[in-house]
Amino acid sequence: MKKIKMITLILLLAALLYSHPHVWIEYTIQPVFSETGLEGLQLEWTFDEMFSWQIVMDYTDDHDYNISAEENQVIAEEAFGYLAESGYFADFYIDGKKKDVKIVTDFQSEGKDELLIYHFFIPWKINAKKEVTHLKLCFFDESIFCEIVPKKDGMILLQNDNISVEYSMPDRITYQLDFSKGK
Amino acid sequence: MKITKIILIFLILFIFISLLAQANPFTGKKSSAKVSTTFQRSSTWHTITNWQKEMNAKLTFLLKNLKESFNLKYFFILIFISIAFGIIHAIGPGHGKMIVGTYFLKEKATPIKALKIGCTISITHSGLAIILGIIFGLIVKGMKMHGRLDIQNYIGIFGGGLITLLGIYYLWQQLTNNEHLHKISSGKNEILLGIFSGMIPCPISMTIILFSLYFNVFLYGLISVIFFSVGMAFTISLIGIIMIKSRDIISNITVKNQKRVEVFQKIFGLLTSLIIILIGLGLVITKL
Repeated sequence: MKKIKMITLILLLAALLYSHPHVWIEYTIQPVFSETGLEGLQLEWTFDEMFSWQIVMDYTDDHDYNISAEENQVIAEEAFGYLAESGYFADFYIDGKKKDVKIVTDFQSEGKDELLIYHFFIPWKINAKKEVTHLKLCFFDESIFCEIVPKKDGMILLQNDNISVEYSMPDRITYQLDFSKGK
Repeated sequence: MKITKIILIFLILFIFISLLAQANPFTGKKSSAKVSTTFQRSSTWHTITNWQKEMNAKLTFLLKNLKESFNLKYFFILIFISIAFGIIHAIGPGHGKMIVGTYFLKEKATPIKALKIGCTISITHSGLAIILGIIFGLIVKGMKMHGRLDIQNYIGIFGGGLITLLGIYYLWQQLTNNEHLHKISSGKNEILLGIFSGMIPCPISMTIILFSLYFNVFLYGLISVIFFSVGMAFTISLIGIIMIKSRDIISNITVKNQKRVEVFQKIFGLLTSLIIILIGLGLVITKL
């Protein structure tokens, strides 16, 4: 009986240790504040070198990392646009309620040290003083095709005089913004 | 009965996770399956995926450096990392492990058979990626990433359909109890199962081939993919061997009562055939 339990445990572990990504993304989040709360989130995604190379090869004319405005437009429409279906992998919560991300703006792709970087903005207007106390921000690909992790020092917090907020990281991929501490 | 329940729970869990791995966000098809972020937040998850990320980066570095000049040390590191990457990568869902595991619960087999299926899956999985990589890299050069992923998707749907048919065939064998047919087809079954299960071309192998073609290091890319497949074959075969051993232990426990053994074998045979049908259907549905 002990043997069976052990084998079952090994098999369950084998099933749970499912690590099957094909694309790796590192991200940073910069919350952009207004006078009353949040305007949105400025994002930066840095892809692994092989995926970066594929995008540059497929969607740029001269196949280099100097991405022109036209090439940026092509990448936005043909490579980045697909991710709308997956909500741009955003797994965001406002006071425990899931926030769907459908719109992103100001998309800009950049090549740096042979890595492709996406910059974009997620509009998310929140009157922090009236309606919200707590945000949870994380990126997660349900299909496990991409592994998305924060960069070291992945949260850039530039507060203004009117908004006070604290941030913490309860696990290795989720950021928490707590406005209640600043009230 | 308790043992059967435990294994059933394991199988359901394995199916669930296996199917999740089949979706791909870059094809614009939203995954119908959802997985809790709890898994992704675990430190084990991070450790394993981080290893893969490091290995992926290391392979890129080595391929580029080997382009500059041949370096024996880099060459051996390339082989070592490719094998390790394959072993770790195949721990993930997909790669036919669920089917292999289920098949060996159904079938009394030897570890050699597990090795045979593991190698067949791995050769098919990477072999198709090598062929497609060469086609996309040399012949249909204009095709973009989402087009390539769509083609991989269609091949996966076809493979899922074949797995469903094979599951129906196993079920028919079980229901008709056709021992003669079973003996004749057992060897072919394993090869077919291996081919059908590995029919989704490996995206990582394909990227390595495309990358190596572009940087004129095709031979090194090919060697890397071959050893990556060796690593995957090791993991898949190991899962098969573990399942064979599990089945043997369960059979030994129930061997005292011949009637119980027969009932056990019948139930497992039917159950695993149904599960193989479900996996095949799942592969088709998640990719449509």
